[in-house]
Amino acid sequence: MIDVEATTEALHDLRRARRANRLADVHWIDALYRVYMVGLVGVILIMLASGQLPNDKVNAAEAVTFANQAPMWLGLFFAVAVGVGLRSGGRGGPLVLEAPVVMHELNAPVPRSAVVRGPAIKQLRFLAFAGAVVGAIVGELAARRLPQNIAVVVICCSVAFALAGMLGSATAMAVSGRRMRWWAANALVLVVVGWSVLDIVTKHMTSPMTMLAEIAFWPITFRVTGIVGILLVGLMVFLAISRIGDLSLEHALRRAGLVAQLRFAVTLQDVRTVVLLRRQLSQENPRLNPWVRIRRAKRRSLVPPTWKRDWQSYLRFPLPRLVRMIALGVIAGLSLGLVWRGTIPMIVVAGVALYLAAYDAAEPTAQEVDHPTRWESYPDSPGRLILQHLAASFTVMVLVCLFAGAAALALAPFEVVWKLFLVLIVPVAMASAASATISTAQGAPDVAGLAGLGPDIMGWVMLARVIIPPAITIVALLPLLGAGSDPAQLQTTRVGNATVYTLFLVGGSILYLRSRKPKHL
Amino acid sequence: MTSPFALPKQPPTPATEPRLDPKAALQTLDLSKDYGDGMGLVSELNIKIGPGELVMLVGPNGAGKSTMLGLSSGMLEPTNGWAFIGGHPAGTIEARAALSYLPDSPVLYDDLSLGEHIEYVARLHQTQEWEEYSDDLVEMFGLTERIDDLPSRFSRGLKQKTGLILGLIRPFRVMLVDEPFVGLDTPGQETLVEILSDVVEQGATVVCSTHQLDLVPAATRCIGLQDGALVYDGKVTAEKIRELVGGE
Repeated sequence: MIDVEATTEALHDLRRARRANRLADVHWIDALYRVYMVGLVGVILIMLASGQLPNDKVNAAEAVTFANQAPMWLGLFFAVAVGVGLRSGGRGGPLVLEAPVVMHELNAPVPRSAVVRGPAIKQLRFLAFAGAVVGAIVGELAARRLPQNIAVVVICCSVAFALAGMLGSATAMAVSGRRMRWWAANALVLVVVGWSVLDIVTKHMTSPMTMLAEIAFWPITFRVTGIVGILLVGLMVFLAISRIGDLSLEHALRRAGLVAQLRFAVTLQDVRTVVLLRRQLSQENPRLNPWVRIRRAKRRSLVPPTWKRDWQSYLRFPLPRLVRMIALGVIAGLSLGLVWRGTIPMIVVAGVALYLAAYDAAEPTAQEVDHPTRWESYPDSPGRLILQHLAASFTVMVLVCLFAGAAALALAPFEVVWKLFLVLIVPVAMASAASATISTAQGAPDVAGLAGLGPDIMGWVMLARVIIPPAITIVALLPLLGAGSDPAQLQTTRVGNATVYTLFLVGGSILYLRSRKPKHL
Repeated sequence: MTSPFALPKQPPTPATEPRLDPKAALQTLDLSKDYGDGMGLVSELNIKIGPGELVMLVGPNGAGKSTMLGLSSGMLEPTNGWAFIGGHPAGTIEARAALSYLPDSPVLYDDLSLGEHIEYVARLHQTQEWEEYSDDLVEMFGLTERIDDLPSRFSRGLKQKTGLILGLIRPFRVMLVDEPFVGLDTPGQETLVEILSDVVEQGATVVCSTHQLDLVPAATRCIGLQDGALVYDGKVTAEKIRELVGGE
């Protein structure tokens, strides 16, 4: 007969012992110094950001108008957070247990809920705390322009974001504890996000996410419907904790291995490995049956083998990856529309979105980099092979840019979009393809080699490795700033002349890629 | 239409499923696993193993041996069918108490020494008077000097020995072992054969996925898998194992 109480007690005892072991290994001075540095940098950044905002306060009537419209947008943001939770839960997330915990503790004759409840509550607590911090920052920035008491605004924002953080995590746990299938979870994402979008379109507050967001605006207008949001969070936390022990061991074990590697790769700033592991985590595998099968050529083909191989790879892209690439194109287009309307910093968002889409387009190149022995076995210079892959990657980016152009039409007139599109499409597609290929082809950093340069230089080199590639794409978009804001007097010649600098950058990138060689671990 | 929830179905009982034998140490009923891509890893396995048997699970690479063991341990979820340990559905608390599962690569904590690992696992499984047995096992595998070291820093072979000790330190009626001889030195292999024979003599059931011919004299039965299907269930001979591994 199994004495469940005794085994549970043993579990708790030994967990306490492990915690004590870990705490004994903590270097407290180091830890406090790190907390101090992060805190200091955070405060400086917040002060800088708040300094950029206009200081003139809105009047009471304007504040009420703001409180009538903004909850829907904040609700959409919360809906996206819940959507992320739903997607994670549909794939066995959000908990990441250590592999030995899965193997030894979840396989022991102990109720699984006793093993998992602790980590689940810890995660809920952490996300509530993280949400509260973000909410406090947002509240502080908003309060500068609102006529309300700053402390009240900060507290309400903090509470709303903390609840949203908990809701996202609790939703994920509730979904994974009930073993909801990924497609059902994705369908729920559409419902949750779609409902919030509907609120924005109809200007009615009907979505529970909007109601949750209303809490942040209580200092301006108190709406009792905000309590529905609080009740929803309470219900979801109950649903999460009540069945968390029913999570799938298969998913838990898979996630344990992948997340441990992912953390290691992030520490090393190995972007390619991070991308690969993230794909495995979300089970984003190449299709067994391609969208269209390219037949073997019957006669001697003039098509370069790299070109054909690249399209064979793209035609096996799973649907989520294709949707993501299109979504990134749309985000880039909308951001560029906002840039044209005067929100200049959005150029960074557009550049990063195109860079991320290009990262997927550079997948065939990444396959060469991942298999250095095969790469160097080809009777050609390794750099030339990488450049051959660039052609298909460029073509794919042209397609992504088409989506960006179409999305930009939502915010900019047609005569502006098509003229700028024709001028910019080639350099931007080339720059984004080249930048993602650089990031992919540079491989994992040689930490041992870099360590010889000293910690300061090593830090800068590591930073440059991460920043330079997306910066190339952003630079390629800069000529857009010379277009002017008058559709009737669009400065297309000035934009065209400025793209020369982009072409220099692309040329430099090609020279760099030409020198790449396989790296063996 | 597929349900939006992948919750396990209600397990059958001897009343609803006449094939189910509560006395069997390990039984699989129409056990299947695939990832929805038409590629079956294990298909409709019906196996019954009684108490006190030492079964060699044999087959070429990709035959479904590890999947079958994972499904029987409850670590993997079947697409269809059931696995029972001592009459209890795999993964339930009773089945977990009765089953010791050793995967092909040992899973160890980073922050516990060998001795701490043993204590943790023994206590989690309510092992009575485990200290003396633990000392014996550690000595048999030649790890006495390493008792306070972190196994996470051990070599592959020493990790394998640690995994075996952890699998043996707890009470069990069924032991599933996946490729336990990989990475072991010759004395370690001999010790393992000796221990598995002892375990079976004491009435436990062992299912061991291996091609190690040293285990043949001790084994009572051989189960051959190929492409996820049962292709042989009978006496163990070295020739039969070679034939099954070759996939002929």
